[in-house]
Amino acid sequence: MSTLDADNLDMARSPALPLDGLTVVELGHHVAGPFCAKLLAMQGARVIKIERPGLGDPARRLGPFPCDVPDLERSGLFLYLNGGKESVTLNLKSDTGRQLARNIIRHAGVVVENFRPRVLPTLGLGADTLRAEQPDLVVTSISSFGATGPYADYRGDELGSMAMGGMAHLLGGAQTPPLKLAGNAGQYLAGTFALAGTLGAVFGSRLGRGGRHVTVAISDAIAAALPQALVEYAYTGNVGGRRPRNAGLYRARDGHASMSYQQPQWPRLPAALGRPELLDDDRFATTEARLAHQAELAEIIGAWIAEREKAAVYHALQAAHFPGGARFSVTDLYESPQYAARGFFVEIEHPRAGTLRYPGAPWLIDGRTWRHARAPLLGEHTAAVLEEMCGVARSDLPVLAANGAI
Amino acid sequence: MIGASQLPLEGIRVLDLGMYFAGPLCGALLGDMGAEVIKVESPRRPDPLRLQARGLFPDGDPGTEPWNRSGMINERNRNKLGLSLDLSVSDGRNLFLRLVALSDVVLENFSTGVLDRLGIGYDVLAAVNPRIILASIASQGLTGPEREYVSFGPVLEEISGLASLTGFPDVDPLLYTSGLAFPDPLGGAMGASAILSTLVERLSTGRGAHIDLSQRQAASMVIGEFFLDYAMNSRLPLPQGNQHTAYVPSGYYRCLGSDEWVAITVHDDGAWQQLCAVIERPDLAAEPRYATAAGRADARNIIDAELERWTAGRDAETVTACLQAHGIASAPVLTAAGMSSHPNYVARDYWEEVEQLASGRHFYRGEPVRYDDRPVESRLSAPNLGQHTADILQDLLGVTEAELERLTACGVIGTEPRGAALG
Repeated sequence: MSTLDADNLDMARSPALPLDGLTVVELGHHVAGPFCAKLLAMQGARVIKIERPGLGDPARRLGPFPCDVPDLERSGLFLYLNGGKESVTLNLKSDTGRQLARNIIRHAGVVVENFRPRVLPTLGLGADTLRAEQPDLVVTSISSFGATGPYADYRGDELGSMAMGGMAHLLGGAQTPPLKLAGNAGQYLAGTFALAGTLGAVFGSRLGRGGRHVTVAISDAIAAALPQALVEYAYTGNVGGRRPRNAGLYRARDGHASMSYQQPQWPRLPAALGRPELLDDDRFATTEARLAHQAELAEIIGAWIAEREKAAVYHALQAAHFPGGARFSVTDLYESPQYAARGFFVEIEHPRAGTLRYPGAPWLIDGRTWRHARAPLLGEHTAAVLEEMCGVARSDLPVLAANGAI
Repeated sequence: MIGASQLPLEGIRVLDLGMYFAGPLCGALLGDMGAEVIKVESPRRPDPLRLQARGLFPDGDPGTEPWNRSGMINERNRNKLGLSLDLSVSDGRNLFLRLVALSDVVLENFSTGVLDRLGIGYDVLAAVNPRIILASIASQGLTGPEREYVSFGPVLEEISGLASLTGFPDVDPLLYTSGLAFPDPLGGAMGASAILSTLVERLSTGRGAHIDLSQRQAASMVIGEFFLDYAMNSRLPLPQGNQHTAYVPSGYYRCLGSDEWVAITVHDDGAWQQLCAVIERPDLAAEPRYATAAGRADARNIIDAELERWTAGRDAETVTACLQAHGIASAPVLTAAGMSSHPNYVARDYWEEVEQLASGRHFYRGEPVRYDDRPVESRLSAPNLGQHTADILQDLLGVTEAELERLTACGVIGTEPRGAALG
C-alpha cells in the first residue's frame, strides 16, 4: 500500500463515498480542469482549488449571471463547475505564494491543472519537480493541443480544439461554415477522459506502482469522439465532408423529432408508424433497397412526424422499442419525468447566488447519493487551509496579504 | 521511475460485453491502462458493428471474413482479447459465470433488462463473486419510466438537450449536422471513470458494486451552464453557432482552397488591437465602437466579413502561425486527412500503425489519456471474433479439447457469426 492511504484520516463524512480520504489540489480554470476535479469532489475527494487573489478562476467572469450582471460570485459556469471545492487564493508569481502552494500539494494525492504546458514548470511546480519529492503523486495536466509538439504553447479554446480534433469539419451543412458543438462540450469531454486517467493512476498508486503524470489534449479527446472519420480515412482514403442535411431529424408540430437506427432495428419502424404493410414493401425489403429509396422513406416518416408533437413522437417510437428522440431544450428537461424519477437535478443553496437547481450526477452506485455542495466564495478557505496545511497562524495572514502572496 | 513500467491496471480482469461505441470504448480505455480486457461476443449475436453490410472495410473490400474487417470494430477494441460465448444457452452462461468468479469487472451497454433476461443480472454475478463490479452503461439508466427506451448516440444528443444548443441560430436545422454521437464517447469515458473509482473504493471495502450510468444524464452535464442560465434568468438558451458571448469576434473563417477554414477567437480587447495590427487595419483598431466586446458584438457581421477578407487569401496553417505569434487563439480546421499528416499529431507520435489479423496494417488514432506523456501502445490489436476463445477457456477454466469441440459443434463458441446475416 502506498502512502496515499495515510490520507485516509478524514472518515467523518457520511455516508461513505468512493473517494473519501483523497485530497486533490486543483490549479484549474475555465472548464476542463475544474470539471475533472468537480467529479472527484462529488465522489468524496477533498478538493482544494487554488485561485488568483482578487480575480480567481476566469470562469467567475464568464456568464451566465443573474440578470446578466457580472459578479465573481454569481457566474453560472463557475458555480456549476466548482461545487464542493474549497477556495484558497495564492499568488503563484510570488515566492511565498508558490511555497505555500507547494506545502498544500504535500498533503495531496492528486494535482489537477490545465495551464498551458510551460506554465507550472516555469513556476517550479511542474509534474517532474513535484513527483521527484512525492513519487506517489498523480499530476493530471489538460491542455488544448498536447503537452509537447509544435502547438504546445499555442493559445487554445473550444473553437480551436474542435477544429484540430476533426469535429468541426464534420458538423454544419453544405452551405455553412464548419460548426462546433454547443458551449464547452469538448472541454467537458477532455475533463472526463482526464478523470478516467486520474482515477486509473490513483488506483495504480494505491497498489504501490507509483504516481503518474497524466496528460490529456482536448483536441485528442475530440478526435476520439469521431465515430468513424479517422479509421475511414486510414482504411479507404475517404474524407467525409459535411452532409447536406441532418439525416435523422424531422420537423414536428412543436419543434423537431429524430431517429437514429441501425439496420437490426428497421423491422420495428413500420409498426411504430402504424404502417405494418411497409414491412412487405419491396422498396424497403433490404438494406440496399431502403438506401435506394431513402427519399421515399424519409417522406413517409416525415409526414407521420409532422402531425405530431415532438414528445409524442419520442414516446410513440420508443413504445415500439425503436430508437426515436425529440429535440428537448433545457426547459423541457427540467420537466422531464425520467430526470425527476432519477433525481437528476439537485437544489443547491449558495450565499450569493441563492438556491438553484443544478444538473447532478451521471451515474449511481447501488443507489447511493453523491456529494452535492455549493461552490466556494473566492478565497473562502484561505485562512483555514493555510493554518491546517502550512502552519500559518491567522495573525500572520495580513502580512501575507500585504506582501501580495495571498 | 520505479514501478512506472507496470501499468496501473495490470492484474485487473474485465469482461467486456460492450457493443457499438460507448461500451467498447470504455473497455478499450481500461485495456490501455493495463487491464486484461476480454471482449465477450455471442457467435449468434456478435457486436452488431461486425455485421454491417455497408460497413467500413480496408479498401472497401469486405473479404471472406467481413466480421473481422470492420474499421469501427478495430478502432475501438484494441488491447482486448476476443472470446465467443453464447450467453443465451446454459453452457455459455455457466462458462461466463465461471469467468466472473475470476474477474474484477463486467461492463455492458445492452438495452436495460437484457442482462436480467439472460440470467446474468447483478445479483447472480455478485452471488458468484461479491467483489465483482458490474457497470451498466445505459442510455437512460436502470430506473425511471424511460429506462427501457433504446437510443444511439445521435438520439441521446437530441434528448439530452445538447442538440438544442448546437447549431446556427439563422439556418434551418434540417440543413446541417449538429452532432456525431457525442454521448457515446462521453459515456465510455464516464463508464471507465465510474469503474475506476469503484475499484479504488473496493481496495478498502472489499466489495463490488453495480454502477447504473445514464448516458443521457452524462450528456446533459456538458451543458450545465445553460441549465443554470435558465434557472437564473428563466430564459431559454438558444444555439449560438460558433459565436461566444464574451469573446468577439470568434468563428471559423474561410481560407485559401476549397472548404478550408481557420478558427479565430479574440479573447479580450488587447487581442483585438493585436488582430487589427496583424491584418493591417488601423482603421478598425481606431474605431471606438469596436474597442469593447459589447461594441464588436453589435457589429459582428461587419467585423466577421472584414476578417474573412483577410483569411480568404491565406492558408489556414499560415493564419494560425501568424496569429499565434501575436498571442491570438487560432487553429486550422482539419479533416481526417489533414490530421493524419499534421505536425502537431505527428510530433507527438499520435498515430499508431497496427497489424490486425484479418485487416492488415493501418494507422489508428491515439488515446487521449497518456501516462508520463508516452503514447498508449496497442499491446494487442482488436481481436477477430472469438480469436482467443480456446486459450481463455483452457487457461482460465481448464476446459478440455474434447469439451471445446463439443461447444463448437453446439454453436456455444465459434469464430464465425452463426445464423446472423449481414444487416
